[in-house]
Amino acid sequence: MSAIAPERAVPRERPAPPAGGNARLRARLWRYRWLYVLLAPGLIYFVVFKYAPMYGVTLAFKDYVPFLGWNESPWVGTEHFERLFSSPDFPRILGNTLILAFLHLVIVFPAPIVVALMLNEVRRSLLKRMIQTAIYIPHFLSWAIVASLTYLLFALGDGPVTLLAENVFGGPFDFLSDPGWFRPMIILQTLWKGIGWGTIIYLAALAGVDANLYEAARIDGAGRLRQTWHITLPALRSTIIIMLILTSSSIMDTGFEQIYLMSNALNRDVADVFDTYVYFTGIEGGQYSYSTAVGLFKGIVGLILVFGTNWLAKRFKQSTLF
Amino acid sequence: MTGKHLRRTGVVTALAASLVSVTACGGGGGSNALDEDVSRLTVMVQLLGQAPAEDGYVWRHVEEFAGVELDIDFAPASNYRDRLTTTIASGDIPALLVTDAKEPTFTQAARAGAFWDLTERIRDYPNLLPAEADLRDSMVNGVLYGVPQWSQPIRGTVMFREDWLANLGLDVPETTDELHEVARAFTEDDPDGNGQDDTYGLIMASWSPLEAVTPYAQLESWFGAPNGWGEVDGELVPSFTTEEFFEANRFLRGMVEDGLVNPGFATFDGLRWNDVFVNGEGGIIIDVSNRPRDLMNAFEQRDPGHGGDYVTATGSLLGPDGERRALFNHTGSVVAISRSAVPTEEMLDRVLSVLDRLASPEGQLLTRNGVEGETFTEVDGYAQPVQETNEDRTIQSDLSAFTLWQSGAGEQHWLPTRAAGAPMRQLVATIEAAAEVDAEHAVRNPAYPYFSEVQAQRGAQLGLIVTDARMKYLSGVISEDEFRAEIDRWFDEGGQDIVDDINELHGQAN
Repeated sequence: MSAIAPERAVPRERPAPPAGGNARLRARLWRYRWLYVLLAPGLIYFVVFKYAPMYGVTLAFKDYVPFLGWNESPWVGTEHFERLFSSPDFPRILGNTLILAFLHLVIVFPAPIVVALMLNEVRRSLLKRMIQTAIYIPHFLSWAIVASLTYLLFALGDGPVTLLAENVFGGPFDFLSDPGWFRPMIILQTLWKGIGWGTIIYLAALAGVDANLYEAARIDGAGRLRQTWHITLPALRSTIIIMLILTSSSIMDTGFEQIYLMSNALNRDVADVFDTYVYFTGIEGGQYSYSTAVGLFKGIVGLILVFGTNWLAKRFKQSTLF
Repeated sequence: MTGKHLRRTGVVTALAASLVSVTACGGGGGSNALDEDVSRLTVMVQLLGQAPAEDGYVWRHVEEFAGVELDIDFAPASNYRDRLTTTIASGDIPALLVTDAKEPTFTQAARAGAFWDLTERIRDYPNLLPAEADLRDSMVNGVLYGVPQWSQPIRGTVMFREDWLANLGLDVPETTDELHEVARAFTEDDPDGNGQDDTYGLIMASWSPLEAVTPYAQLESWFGAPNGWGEVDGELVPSFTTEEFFEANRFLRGMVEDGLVNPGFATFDGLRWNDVFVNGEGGIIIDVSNRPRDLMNAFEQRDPGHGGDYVTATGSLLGPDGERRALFNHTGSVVAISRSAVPTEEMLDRVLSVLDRLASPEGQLLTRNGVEGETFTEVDGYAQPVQETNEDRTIQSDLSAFTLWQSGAGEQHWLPTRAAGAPMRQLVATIEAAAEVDAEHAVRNPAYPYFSEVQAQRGAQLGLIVTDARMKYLSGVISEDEFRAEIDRWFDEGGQDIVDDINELHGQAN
């Protein structure tokens, strides 16, 4: 934010030698004081609500006893992390989390792009808007509702979808408790709930594509697919990259509510992820320090993924986040 | 970006953040500290329904009777545990705090000296002193950190579609074999007479944590499995290591295989239990004693005037060996007294005498039933609530909120509420009679008095190994050998430490 105006102004007034750095800084601060005032609320917000609470991660290195309080609870170093990495649950939970994250990346992430491209091809704007509105709606339903709907529709014995599948394909279908169906169901739910909402940003980007480009392509004899490949997709590329970097940060957040609501005794082997593990050990077992350590580990993996994706994007000379 | 991300790393970091602000404001004497004469008592207790009005009829009468001003913080039961943690972390703890004595956060704080040790002192207050076995339940490894609360000792109840039994000419089962037969008849013999094969016998739900009065634990106890833990050759062992446990589950798996149980039971939400019973999909529920009443009310709404024709209930069933065993319902809930709000022994004695007074026969009657002639009238040993005006109804709802912080662990001196209508009274009488028989055959959990650090830390996660394996076994996903292998895995992954710890505590106690 601070870079907008000053950058352009600075070169022109840099006659002073480097020695007067301090005075110059003060002069600059004063000169752009109103810009800094504008910046302040945003900075304060981040410091108070985003950075200060990060002090809480020290909990992961302590043996937190609520009554003793923050400062009195003894330090235990990396004990909680050692316990996590040596826990028999760890490989399974890490595996489940990574598999779900991977499925999100290859199925859920590109889906809105495909839908946005398809919507872009719809000629009648009334129809297009109707479809858009219809596919946005599930975004506003809570996971509890999505899960209840799923339980009703896919119930063993009397669920309409189960009955339909059994009549069409034969054989029993146990969508809700068969471990093999757990991941497809989670992905299906995520797609149903999020696909419409996800198209918004891509449709906005598509609206900005110069119509002259399409016209020129048509004159050159390009068909629909050619136009999509050579104009629409390149126009979306920077948006896609930015969205990919943003998504990679939250990829380890597999969504506690959704998983918790959809897991049961029969599919827990594939359903247990870090979010549910934190709930069962931390909240149920009152082990705040241990679950903070698990959360911190997850956060660090997320951080590495953001930087990694960003670095890759840079390598391929794409627009990046930072 | 970084900040945003880390903050989203889970519930816990967010909780941690809230704790920072709480600790910052807390500390010092705080608003919960009492004055030296104890003219005001601060209380925190969970709330299930509507919070009572502070100047309401019940509140005023209880204050007058207790001789102190009451400052009660009614916290919703749904997030009581979170409230407990933040309250304890704040350091500004109310004088009285109602909690499970073995809630890890509370136990840690109590051991660090946040609450009074009442182990010896409780004996000076006859109204507060429960039976020796109940007292041990409320203790944490032999130390009492709060005044024990009364709890219903027997809750297990089996309920049946009475009209289905009548249609088929069957009696209420008394043994597990008869249960199997009735479930078979309910499934195969068209109990609703509509000519279609659209019913099943037993409705089971997915709710199955260890050491709770679940349908699974009840069935296992009828077969002779212990209540959570059992004593074998002087050693305490988890119930799922006993042969009776496997025998009971073989029996239930057989019922599942024969189609006598609802097919989706492993994912069936207990909240829908009443629906499928009332809709006539299934005809037997194994649960606790308040459900038959809810069922009868639901039938009464469907078929006004005939609600009583549809539900009947019984307590425990006789096992294959002809023995009766019923799960004892442990709660171990206490009213803890904080040392920060009540710093001296003189004040502690005053607080305890207030509680003792409230737990006296008159005090119990007042806080449970209200005032004879004004809020209730006594009919055949039951309290008939006065419910004429809206104000009367407010009083009844206020009374139910007040019972939750009652101690009075000794004898029960209040009157149970008289049910409305003859069929309901008949049902309640049946359930109470069954509970009385079951009380004589109650199976207690010998490990209940112990708080194992290892169990608190790992028990919840490890318990899932057993309960998940049981569900898989019952659903036919795994064989009995695989089921036993999962139990071995429980031992390998930390269960053995729990067993060792519990037995060490048991050894120290005896």
